[in-house]
Amino acid sequence: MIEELDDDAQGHDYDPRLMRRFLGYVRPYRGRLALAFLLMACRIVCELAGPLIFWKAVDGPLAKGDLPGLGRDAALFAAAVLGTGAFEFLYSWTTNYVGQNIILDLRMQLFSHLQRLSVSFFDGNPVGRLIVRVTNDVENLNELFTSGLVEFAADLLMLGGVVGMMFYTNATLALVTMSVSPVILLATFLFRNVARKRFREMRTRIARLNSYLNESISGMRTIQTFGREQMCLDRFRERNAEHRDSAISAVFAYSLFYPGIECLFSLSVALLVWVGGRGILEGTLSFGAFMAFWYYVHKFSMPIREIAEKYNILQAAMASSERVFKILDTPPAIADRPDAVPAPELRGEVEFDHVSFSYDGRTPVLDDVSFRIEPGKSLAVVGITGAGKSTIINLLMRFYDPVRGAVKIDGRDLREYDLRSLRRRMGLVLQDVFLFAGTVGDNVRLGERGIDRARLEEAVRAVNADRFVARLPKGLDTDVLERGAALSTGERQLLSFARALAFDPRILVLDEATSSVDGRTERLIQDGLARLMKGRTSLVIAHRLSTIQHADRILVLHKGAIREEGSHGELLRQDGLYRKLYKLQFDPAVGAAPQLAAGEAAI
Amino acid sequence: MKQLRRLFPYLLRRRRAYLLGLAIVVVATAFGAIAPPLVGYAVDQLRRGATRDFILVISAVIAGAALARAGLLFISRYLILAASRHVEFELRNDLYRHLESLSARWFDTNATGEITSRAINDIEGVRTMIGIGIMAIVSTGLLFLASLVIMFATNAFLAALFVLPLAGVSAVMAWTGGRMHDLSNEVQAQLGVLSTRAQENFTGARVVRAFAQEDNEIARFRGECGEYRRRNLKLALWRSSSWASILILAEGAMIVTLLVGGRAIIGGSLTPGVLTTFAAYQFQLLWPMIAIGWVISIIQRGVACMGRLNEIFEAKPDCDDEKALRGEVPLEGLIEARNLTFAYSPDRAPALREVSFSIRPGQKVAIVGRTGAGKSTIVQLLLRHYKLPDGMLFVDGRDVNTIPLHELRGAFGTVPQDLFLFSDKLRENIAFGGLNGVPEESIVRAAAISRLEADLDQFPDRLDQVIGERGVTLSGGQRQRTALARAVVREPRILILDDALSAVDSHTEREIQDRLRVFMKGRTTLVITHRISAITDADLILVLEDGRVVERGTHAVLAAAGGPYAALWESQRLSEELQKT
Repeated sequence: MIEELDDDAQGHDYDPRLMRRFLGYVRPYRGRLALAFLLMACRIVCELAGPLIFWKAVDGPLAKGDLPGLGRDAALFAAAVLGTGAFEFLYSWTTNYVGQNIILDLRMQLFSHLQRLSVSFFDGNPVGRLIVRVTNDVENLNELFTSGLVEFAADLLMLGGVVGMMFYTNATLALVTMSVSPVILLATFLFRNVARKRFREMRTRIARLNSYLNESISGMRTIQTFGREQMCLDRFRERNAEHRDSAISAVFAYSLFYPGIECLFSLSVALLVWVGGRGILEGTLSFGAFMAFWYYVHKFSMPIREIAEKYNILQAAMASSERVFKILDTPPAIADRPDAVPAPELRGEVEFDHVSFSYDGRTPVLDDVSFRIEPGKSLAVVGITGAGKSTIINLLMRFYDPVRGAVKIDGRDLREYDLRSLRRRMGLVLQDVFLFAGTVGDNVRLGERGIDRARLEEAVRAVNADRFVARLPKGLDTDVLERGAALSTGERQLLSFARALAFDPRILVLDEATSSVDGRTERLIQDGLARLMKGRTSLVIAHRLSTIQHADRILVLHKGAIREEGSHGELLRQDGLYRKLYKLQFDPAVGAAPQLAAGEAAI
Repeated sequence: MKQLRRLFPYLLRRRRAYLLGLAIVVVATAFGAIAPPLVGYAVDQLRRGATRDFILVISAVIAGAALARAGLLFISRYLILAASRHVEFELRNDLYRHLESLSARWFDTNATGEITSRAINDIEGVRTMIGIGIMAIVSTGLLFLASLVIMFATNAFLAALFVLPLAGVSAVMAWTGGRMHDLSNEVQAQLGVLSTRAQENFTGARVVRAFAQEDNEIARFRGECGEYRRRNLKLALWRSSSWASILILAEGAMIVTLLVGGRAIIGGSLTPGVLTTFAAYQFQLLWPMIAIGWVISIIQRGVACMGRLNEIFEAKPDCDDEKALRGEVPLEGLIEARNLTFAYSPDRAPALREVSFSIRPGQKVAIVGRTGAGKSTIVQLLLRHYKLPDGMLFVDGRDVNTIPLHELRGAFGTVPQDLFLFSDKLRENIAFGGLNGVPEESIVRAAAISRLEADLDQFPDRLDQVIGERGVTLSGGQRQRTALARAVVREPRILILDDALSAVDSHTEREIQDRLRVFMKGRTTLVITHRISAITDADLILVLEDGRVVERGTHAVLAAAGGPYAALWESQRLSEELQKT
């Protein structure tokens, strides 16, 4: 929120480069856009015809006492008015239609591009900011199209038309009344500059005030604990007063501007009465022309007020478009090579070949790690927090690429495969189960149409999730966010097993949850996990004794390197790191300890 | 109107500005309504052979009236808008003060974002209502009334015909306005859906990638975007047709003038001047008629905003000083809990069950136990952040409920578990703990005790270094040590360290412990920790499980007892060993 206020305070000047790029999105709709402009032109013609008809009616039938003629003119006038309304409606709807389609395209392009970006991009960019790009920034671009492009053009066209008609009516009078317009333009320009400065100042100050407020609310317990209510109130009042003062000085400019503009228009009417009146006296101006002229002055006032407003919109939109394009220009860190091959049916052999990795390029996280999992076998990785276990998952799923060495599946470097076809043959279960909005079934199937109801139910049954699903109000069709359907940690885990199973992966990658569940659920999970792993190559970051015991092999990772390797029994006999780890987590003598020190859970 | 009652005292305080401003609006309106009949009069005089001088005079009068109106409007706008800013200022201060008085439970049940948004947007809504809202409703209303009176006085029949389409403009605005408001809410709601979908997709990026669900996600998002477009276009349909009808109705008044007025002129019952007058009113009244719809929505929003603010203003603190009595001597630091039982809410399991202990001034007492065992709850209750029944918790033999909040909290220096630093200078963050002006030496000393002085070299501005929001520019350990300095600078009778040094490495922690030992001589220390190495010298250790004290004693006794404490001690030695290998 605060962040965005700050973003907005930085206006952006008109940038032709950004505008040209934006116009690229308008291109597919150029036919419709041309239609919109045509409708707009018709509207303006109708609107300008009104005063002209009025003029001819006053000078013609009205002066001559021609009643039928007056009726005809009134009908004509009514037709012009109806035409104005009808064309206005059509023009406005067409513009909106085009605008909505443009932002749909742009938003979809942005979203689709974000789907191509790798996990590291999301690890490095706050989600809140990305959401603003997809929502508000794209909205601002809609404003750029409707207000910044089309309406601005409409206003200009209308102004030009009115000026033309004024000169057509009476050139002298046009010059006299329009003598006010440079003053109006100048006043508007000056006002805009002053107002912008004041506004910027005001926004900075309100941002300061709001962030202090936000901070105070977040830190209220600290303020109260330390008894600093009075001091914080004083500081808040100080910032509040700063904001009030800048707001009042902006009020000054505003109070001056709007009555001032109104006054300038009234002055042009006074000029009109003076010069026009003399014209009527001297016989150089008809009464009808005088009326028509006044009418035009009135029509002149609307677009000229609007035009000044449009510039501010343009500025905000420029800043937004720059931010949106910046994301579109971010290349994915992980992308398929041009010669990548679709993954065939896999045997399921996994190999880490002298793999080293670092997230920041400086601190090594994995150092020369090599291991192999034969097809259909399971490997449990154990180690303390920070040993590099989750990095192994990140590399095997190819969320990141290794700095040195290679990760291979079926003897082939991951980078040679078409990534998505490869991932389709792998299954991932994460520690924190992420649930999407939707039903329980949707969360198992994700968006995959190919997984039918029967397969869904089978997967749920196979991992023992059917029992709790049956207890939900609508079974598989229960909304996961619904009140009363709140799923426990254990249930979420079972659900994620079902998800992995439904996709029938050849290779299973699993980060076991550390959180403890009750004994019954624990047994269900162990049993479900065993069925999930059966016959698949599995790599498990293990936290449960049963998982470790049932694994074909165990790898002890410590500070980014492999320290021990073997079966449970072998490793226990070695009396090394593994024995310590085992004692720490599973020795009944120390049994209660991990529970007690949850914050420092060791394995 | 009931919602607005709270606003009256604020407006009353600004009554001079408001009354003067509104009085000036009345005069300005008169100047505004006068121009059309003047022009009409001039037109009629022209036909009767007026002189040039006459026209000049009329023009001058119109110009003069315009200038006078502008000047008056400027003054009244300035008076009223500035007054509304003053009211906003005071209202916001009072809201802040009120928030400061509310207890933890209220903040637990109301999301920070929600409160902030109310304090920002709702106050803005109220200010708009009492500023431009009042101003516009009075000035457009008056202008409309005055014009109406003059028109009816000039020609009642024509006036009646003329006002009809203009009233139609307001009617269309009122009718479509409500519908457009609903539609635009629907659009906003769908934008909310888009934003939720996007958030889900970004947060679940790993799952989406791992299951190769990118295309399905795109299809789903496209569906929501399509719905968003549909709702927007529906709104556009209403907006376009509403605006088109307004255009037609507004110009319709001119058709009526031309047709009916024209016939009357031909019939001789009306002069062209009247026609001119009416035309001039059409020009002048169009915007006010459109604006009325807008003003009504401003007022509606303002009332709704005030209603929401009232909800905050009407919230009462759980813990106040109603039963409190100021003590005669400063608090010493004798803490006693007698069968302390507490639940955060009646439908939740108790966080503490029959906990009893007693800490004498100068003692060091430690509480250990796993997350959720109730350790921090004891701290929250000691500081009276939550309401507790009488007779359970005592400081210096006085029930905490009878000690004024300021006196009670003044005796404590706390380093909370979820510590909060302010985006201010390091120096200010430390001085925050001091009760009154904090001298430089105290800050330096506090920084030294918490071993912060060694880190100062990293900061170009040393103690004047501004730390980011919540202290993001500091490391976890630096944050904790800053919070410790903040508690130390307070020179408290009772120091509470709630998991205060978990991010500090054990070597530095030992140094801090040594310095604290000297500083805490004669003061009470309550330590909550996972690290046993820090509490081996405690006078008493309580082991908490599920809100109950399951073991109590000194380190030597407990370590030998073979219970949960001994297990924890063993596991900690093991993991320390592991870290070293």
